[in-house]
Parts: sequence; C-alpha cells; structure tokens
Amino acid sequence: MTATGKFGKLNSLKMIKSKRGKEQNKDILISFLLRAGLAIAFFYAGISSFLNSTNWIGFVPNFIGLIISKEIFLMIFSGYQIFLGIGLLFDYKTFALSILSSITLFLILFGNIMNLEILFRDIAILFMALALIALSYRKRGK
Amino acid sequence: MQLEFIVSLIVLAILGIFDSGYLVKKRVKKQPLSCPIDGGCEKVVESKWNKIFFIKNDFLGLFYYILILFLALYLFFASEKLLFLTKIISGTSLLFSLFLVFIQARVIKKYCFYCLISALINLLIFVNVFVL
Repeated sequence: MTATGKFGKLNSLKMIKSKRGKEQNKDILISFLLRAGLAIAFFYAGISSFLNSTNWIGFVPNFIGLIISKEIFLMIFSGYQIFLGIGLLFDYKTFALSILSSITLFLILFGNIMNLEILFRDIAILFMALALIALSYRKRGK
Repeated sequence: MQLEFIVSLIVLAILGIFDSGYLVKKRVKKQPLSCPIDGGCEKVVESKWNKIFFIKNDFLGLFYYILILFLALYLFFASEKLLFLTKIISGTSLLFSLFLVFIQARVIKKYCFYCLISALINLLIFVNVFVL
C-alpha cells in the first residue's frame, strides 16, 4: 500500500469515527430531552396530587373507589409517578421505565376517555414515551 | 399563593438537583462528561471560571437547588415569610448564571450543555418566584 493510500484510509477511519461520535451525541441529546420531558410531566402530576389531592381526585376512575379509597390510591400513585420521574432522569433502566410510562399514560387516557378535552396532550406525552422505548431499545441492541 | 407555582418551583428545583448533581458526581468520581452539544463541557467545567472563591460552581448549584426545594416546601407548608428572601436568592443566582453564560460565549468560546440547562432552570425559577 502506498503512503497516500495509508493516509487516505486513516482519514476515512477518522471521519467514520467522528460521524459515529456525532450520531452518539445526537442520541444522548434526544434521549435526555425525552427523559426530561417525561420526568417533568410525572413530577408535576405526582407532586401536585400529593400536595393537593382534591384537584386530582376527579380523574381517578370510579371502579378504583370500590377496591381502595381514592385518596389513598392517589397518594400511592403520586409516589409511583415521582419514582418514574427520578428513574427516567437517572437514566436507570430507561427501556423498562419507558414501557412502564407508556402503559401508565395509556391507562390514564383510557380511564379518562370522557375527559379527552383536558387530557388530549397526554397523547403527545404517550408518544414521547413510545419514542423513548424505540430509542432505548436501539441503544440496548448496540 | 398559588399551588401551581409552588409545584413548578419544586419540579424546577428537582431538575436542578439532577443537573448539578450529575456534574458533582462526575467530578467526584473523576469521570468524563458526556456532552451532547459542542463537546465543550470539559473545557468549561475545568476552566478557571468554574469556582467562586474556593467553591466549585457545580457544588454551589447543587446547594442552591436544595435550598430552593426547602424554601418552596417551607412557603407551602409553613408561611410566606421567606418569600422575599427567596426572591433575592433567585435573582442573585440568575445574575450569576447570566454572567457565566456570557463567559462561555465570549471568553471560553465553548458551551457546556449542563451549565446552559442550569441557567435556563435558574431563569425559570426566578420567573416562577416572582409570580408566586
């Protein structure tokens, strides 16, 4: 191999490496933004319903009241949402937590389908969680 | 005092704790930062501007967000006596953040993603505290 050929190969290797690095950085940024967005939504709902449950009790489906007191359910659910937020921000088991987030949001939407005028933005949050599943699944595969 | 703003103040403080906590963790463990934009995090974090007196800005930030979290809880559960103090602290912090963003843009000429996030959080905390 000639000297120029060697240098050419080295340069193209460097270019591939920097391209990979840039793609990796993009993935880190996208993952961070999705996780932060989801965490903010979960933190806000969790803390708000923990501090003042009366504002949120109307969103608890009636059948829950047959099993457990709605207030107690709301307290447990607040803790669960804060846990989801912390886990997502820590980037801890993101794949599993994003699946859990999607299921949670789907159930919130399903349980309050009659309040869709208030909850329609949760559909966007659900899709954020689905995007995070796809992203973290890809990361796991690498 | 509106509950919505107390809740958003708590959420912002928690986000700040995670942001500055990440920087503190990486500094203590001496690990490199994963910098999603510009790649200038290390340069900014290791520059001579990253401390005030002997305290590193990331430690200072962590302390500030924890303080804001406690102040928010105090404002909600106890009394509004400390509201004025909260305004002064958040205003000072915002000014310091703006100064650091200026330093990044004009002196170091590199951006640290986590520092910019922190500046944004400080701005939002300041606005939040003033509408309380």
